[in-house]
Amino acid sequence: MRDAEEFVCRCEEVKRESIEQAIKEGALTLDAVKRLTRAGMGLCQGRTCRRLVSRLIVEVGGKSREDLPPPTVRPPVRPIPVRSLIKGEDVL
Amino acid sequence: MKEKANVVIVGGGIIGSSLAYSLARRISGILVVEKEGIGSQASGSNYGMVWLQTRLAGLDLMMARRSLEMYEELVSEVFDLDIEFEKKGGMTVFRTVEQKTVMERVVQEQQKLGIPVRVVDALETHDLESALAPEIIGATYCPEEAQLNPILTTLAFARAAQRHGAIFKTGTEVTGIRTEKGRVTGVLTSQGEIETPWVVNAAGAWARGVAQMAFLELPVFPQRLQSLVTEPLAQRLLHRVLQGGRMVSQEEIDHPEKALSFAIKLSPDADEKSLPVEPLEDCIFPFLKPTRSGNMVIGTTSEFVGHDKGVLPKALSLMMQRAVEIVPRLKEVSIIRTWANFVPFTFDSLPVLGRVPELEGFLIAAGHAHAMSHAPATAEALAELIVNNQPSLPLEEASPLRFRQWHR
Repeated sequence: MRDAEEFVCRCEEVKRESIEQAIKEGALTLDAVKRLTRAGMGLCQGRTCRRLVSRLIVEVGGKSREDLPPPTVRPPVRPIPVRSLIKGEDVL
Repeated sequence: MKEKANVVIVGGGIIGSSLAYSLARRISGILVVEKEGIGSQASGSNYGMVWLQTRLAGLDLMMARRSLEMYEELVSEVFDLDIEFEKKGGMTVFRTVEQKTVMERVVQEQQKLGIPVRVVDALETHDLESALAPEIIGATYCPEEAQLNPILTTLAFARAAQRHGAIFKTGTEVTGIRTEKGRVTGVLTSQGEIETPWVVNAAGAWARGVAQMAFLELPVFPQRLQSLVTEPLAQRLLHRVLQGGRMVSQEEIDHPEKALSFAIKLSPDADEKSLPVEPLEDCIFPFLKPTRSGNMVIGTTSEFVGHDKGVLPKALSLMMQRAVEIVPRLKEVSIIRTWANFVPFTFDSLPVLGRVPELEGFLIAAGHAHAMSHAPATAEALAELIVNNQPSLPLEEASPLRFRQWHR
């Protein structure tokens, strides 16, 4: 049993109801849902919630899975410490 | 049957969306054609700043001030989304006495224009933002500068426009402009043809390509900004936007008026080849924006590389190097996302607003390097121009006619 209060994006604490609301308002891609709700903008950058949001777009938005464009994945794949980018700093 | 509209706006970024709102309040039949989604490009990924300190005297400053007033009104009376509008001010920090001397003279000039900015001493600077590096000896501070969430602002404009009956066709690409006897009669899109007497080119960094469909040359070029965002900081900064570490050149010391703006200024008759190509080290302009969510948005580069959206590890490294010189605490966090976007660049750093004599019904609303600072005022003035030919701002300064050699 899934309820409206459950967190779909744990990093940004976005609930299922907010995502469904965004989809009903016409956000029919992962990027559009992200822009409206912040789902996928947190520390894991959508690695956890991507599939769940896709499924909601299919179920609630009525979009076919094949028509769903892949999300824009931006580097880095995993968070990188700022220290590792700075000259003369030891990476912990 | 062909679709019909009174005005077709090409581009669903902040300029297209705000113009749709300003027009839809006045007339019906407003249609926005957007090749991707609302705010998919620069409007969804820029810094979300309403600047005053970087404005040029004249229309530029006038539009920013009016936009600032209008945002407050829009936030309280029109928008149904919280756009995270915060007027907490912006600071340009400096580390050397030499830089301070130049910035003092710059601020004097800005005060003459009525910009509410002042130089603050070390004590007040660190009081305003305690996370700053101890080496920072002062700053210019403009408490009226504001920040907002650019994505939500663009969406809020689009939703307000829709409430007034405007239609947004997303995922629809304009492929041609139909003309007859020197006037616009319609646009061709990937989803069919639309009949219309007015076409507004609000395609931002892609405006040149849209103008070419009407056989017009518009010197608006993509300028790449690389950016990154960190995870939220444990202890948040005070939401003031920081700029700094800028090298003050000998030329600026001799002619402080040249330091008045960060803008690159070239003659309007310059051509593509005049766009500066410099080593990456010289293209870094440190910028830090603490967002409401606690993440720090950090920029930026300013490069001319066409529409290449690449992010360079070297650029990230250079930007972070400069950023930790301003806020050392950033060393303790990680970067979670990087991106590049394109803001439109014009030779005199002013947008291009108005009609073109060659084609009746074709209006340009593009070339905003600081679109968030200008959108509400631009939209009102252009809506007035379309509806009754009486814009309440002197748009002549931004007229397309200033690019003489580009109009053959």
